[in-house]
Amino acid sequence: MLNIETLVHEKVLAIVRLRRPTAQAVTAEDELRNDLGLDSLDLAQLGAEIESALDVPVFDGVAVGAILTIGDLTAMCEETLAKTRRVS
Amino acid sequence: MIETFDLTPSHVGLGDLNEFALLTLVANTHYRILTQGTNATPRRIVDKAGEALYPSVFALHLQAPIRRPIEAHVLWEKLSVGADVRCFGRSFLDVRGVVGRAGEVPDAPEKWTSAPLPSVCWAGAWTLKGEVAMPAPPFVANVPHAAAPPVLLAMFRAAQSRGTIAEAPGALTPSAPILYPVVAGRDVARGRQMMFSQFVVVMDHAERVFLTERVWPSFPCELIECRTTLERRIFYFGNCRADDVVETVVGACLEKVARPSDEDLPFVPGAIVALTMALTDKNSRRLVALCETRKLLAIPSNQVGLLRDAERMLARHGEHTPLKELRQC
Repeated sequence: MLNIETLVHEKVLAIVRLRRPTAQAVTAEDELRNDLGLDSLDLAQLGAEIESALDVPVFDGVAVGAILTIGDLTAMCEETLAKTRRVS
Repeated sequence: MIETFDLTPSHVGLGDLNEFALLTLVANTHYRILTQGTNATPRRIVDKAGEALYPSVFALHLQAPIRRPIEAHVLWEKLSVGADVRCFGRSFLDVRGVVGRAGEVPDAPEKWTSAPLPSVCWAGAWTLKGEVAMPAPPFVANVPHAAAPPVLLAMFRAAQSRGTIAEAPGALTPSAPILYPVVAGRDVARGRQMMFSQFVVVMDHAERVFLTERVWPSFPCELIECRTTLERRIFYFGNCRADDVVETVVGACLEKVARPSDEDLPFVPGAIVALTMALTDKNSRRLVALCETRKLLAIPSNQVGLLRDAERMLARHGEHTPLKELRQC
């Protein structure tokens, strides 16, 4: 069973480490821009990595750049996946 | 996609192929890939809110083999231009391009960088007001997908954080800034930003001023005319508009170059000039771009007297020694 929260945290940490290789961990409360310092380039890559891993278009409705925290991002991924399962 | 056409004065004036034209021609073909199947021009590609997006370039790597300099492609030649674009996600663009004479460009893009032809690759993304953005469906739906982000993107981040290019040779002595006023109509359309290929013109201007006016002994102008680009990397962090002034700081050194055994080269390799440049917007002090370049002094076979000039420059400046400005001597 895919754990969305773990996947999102891993993807976010991987992007953070592109700028700060020694970064240890991220939390659900961390703000993507303000706390982690991600810019639009980082956020776009994060969005692409997550969509690629989940194989669903998570950010059709809301751009990843408009999402505040990692928790919000996780919730959005879970919601999109749930919708996809209902449709299929 | 491979397009074949005559290289005409609308591309290169009365000269031969140059870096600016090569980059622009590859960009033209890549625009056709981006818009194929949409009936839209590049300016009509928009995000979900209907805002027009621009395919920005973040990092670029151009290479030309010594046996096929860019300028070997002459006016009126039948030229083939290949471009290959892959999308990572819906924002990132991984672009490869190549030029050759008609029929020379291999069909498989994977073979382009190893082909003995001038080639370029760049990492780009759709942007809106300087921020990475996402085209609305159905745009780019027909562009093949990449499984990973462009390789140059990691190098872009590293250069952005350091403010230097790691691969640059040694600690070069930076020059005093060389100014370049960005002129509407010549460098940029008023109200728009400068095209990525135009940065090469700004860099070439700084390079010429540095080598012919700043260093001592200075390089003879005829020798400077013999330069041909073997390799260039550019990292773009910002852009310019009309009436901006770009300040370029240059560092350079010379390298000896072995004369290839081939007898059919139309020139004699004199030396390699390795340069690094940092471009800053004079008013805002924003770092606009970083560049490193390796250029060959390719002495035409009928002007071998210039070879003495190249040897003299090597003797006076030394090999792998930062070229010094007159004020530093």
